[in-house]
Amino acid sequence: MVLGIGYRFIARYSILGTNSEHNTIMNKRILFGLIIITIMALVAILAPFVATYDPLEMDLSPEARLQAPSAQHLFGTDNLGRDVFSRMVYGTRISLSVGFIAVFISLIVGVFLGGVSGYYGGKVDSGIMRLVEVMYCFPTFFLIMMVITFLGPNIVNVMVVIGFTSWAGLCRLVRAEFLSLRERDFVHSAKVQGVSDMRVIFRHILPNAMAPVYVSATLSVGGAILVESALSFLGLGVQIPTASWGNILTAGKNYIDFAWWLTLFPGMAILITVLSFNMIGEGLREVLDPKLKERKG
Amino acid sequence: MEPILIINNLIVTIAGRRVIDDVSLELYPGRVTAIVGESGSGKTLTALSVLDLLPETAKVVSGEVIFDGKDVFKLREDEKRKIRGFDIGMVFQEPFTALNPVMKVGDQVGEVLLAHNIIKKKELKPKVRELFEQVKLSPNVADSYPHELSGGMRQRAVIAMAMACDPRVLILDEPTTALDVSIQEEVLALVSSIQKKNNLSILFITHDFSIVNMLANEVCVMKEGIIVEKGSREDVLRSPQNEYTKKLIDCIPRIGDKRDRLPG
Repeated sequence: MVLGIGYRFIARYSILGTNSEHNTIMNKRILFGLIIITIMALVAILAPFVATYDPLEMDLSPEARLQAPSAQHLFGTDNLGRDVFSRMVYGTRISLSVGFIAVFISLIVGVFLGGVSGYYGGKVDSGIMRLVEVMYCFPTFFLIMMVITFLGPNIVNVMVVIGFTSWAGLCRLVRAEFLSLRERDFVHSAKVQGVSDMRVIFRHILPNAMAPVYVSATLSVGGAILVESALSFLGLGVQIPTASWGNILTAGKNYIDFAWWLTLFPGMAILITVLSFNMIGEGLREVLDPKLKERKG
Repeated sequence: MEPILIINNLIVTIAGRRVIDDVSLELYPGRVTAIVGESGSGKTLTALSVLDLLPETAKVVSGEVIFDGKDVFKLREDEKRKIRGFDIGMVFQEPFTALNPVMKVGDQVGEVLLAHNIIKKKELKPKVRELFEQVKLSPNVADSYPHELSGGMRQRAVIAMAMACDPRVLILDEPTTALDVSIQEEVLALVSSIQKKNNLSILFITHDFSIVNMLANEVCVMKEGIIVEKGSREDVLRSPQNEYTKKLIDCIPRIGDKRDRLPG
């Protein structure tokens, strides 16, 4: 999804952009992020072919455990003799799917509530906004931890809970866009022609309100991946033996003084992925925000 | 002849101030009624009240709008929606903002047809092309986005949208004010030809008496929310009774006229 949107913007702005120098820089930033994320996505999809070993296969013999990186085990082996590279390859699936699905859920909730709130205003609006304020009052991470302890830690719960606790910001963003767009002539025009409210909201207003939503959603994917890693690190996310970047880190922290590869590689993977999403998000923001363009150009 | 649209003693306030003060007017089938007045005289609000789409801040204090024998204010929301676009079409002043920038114009015209369920999806394309031809636009324009069109073309597309369901009444809110003079002429000629062909009733809002002279059958002159003069075009133009009307008529530029352009 993000890839498609990204390429559309690149195509559009490299053709239409008059301020070519400025746009090229932006495109490079988005392009860098997109390349990394594309590689990650391919790794995740093709995990069985990329992985060199079974990620769950243990070898408890002393010489197989905690091997340093070598040609045979690219990222070394862990304390149970499992191949870290293969575990990380499968961990990519977890991280990316949690990132995308959690953000997808929060997008649906946030855009719908924000849209309804901004379009109808009045009592509906103040009701939804109070709900948003309540959401803001909770320290989100602890809320997530608490809910996960109740529901039981597994990947589906993690996605759903992250999704349902992170929509408040998006909701406010969409509401603000709607508040200004609903007074525009083409919206009045559609209403005058008898077009239904839901169609006005989703066909006329929403497409014009999407630019900041794309940016915010892309940045949130990085955030969701971080939350998932943190939860898995604390043992509340993906449960062992299933591999995720977070729980590889947990296993590695006990051996950090001599088995550096157990913490370095998953740490780097999280860092690079989140950084890539942030770069795409930032790049999109600068390409899409006309005010920013004016100031710099 | 029975009027198709009647506004009776309409009073609308915004923040306690009367912006429409006891306005009554009638629109007859196949006739053009022009509402003339300066900015802020309440002419656009009068038009919007016909569709019960006044801004949230505006309150209808009293009065009624009767369309086809029914009081519009008393209808249910879904009944009102059936009237909007289907029985009464409307064209706004600004063709540059009246179209959704991220939707093809053909889709926007087609949407009106779909909103009123008067056509099947597969018949949509030819019908839209036909509508574009009716407003003298190339049917290929249907596949363009609004930013690719000129002001005159956009206004034609908006008129096509308003005419999509073959309404009985068309409200035109200063449709030519934002266009340059040569295009104005063409759009007015188009409106006039459509009006004659379809026997439309038109409520035409303008501040320009030369347009009134071209199109209108009846004229209402509004000032500060009040109708100061009402009558047939000939009566109002030839022998205006009200001081304000006289001044407005004096604003029409004439060849060989040596007076200052803005009297009084």
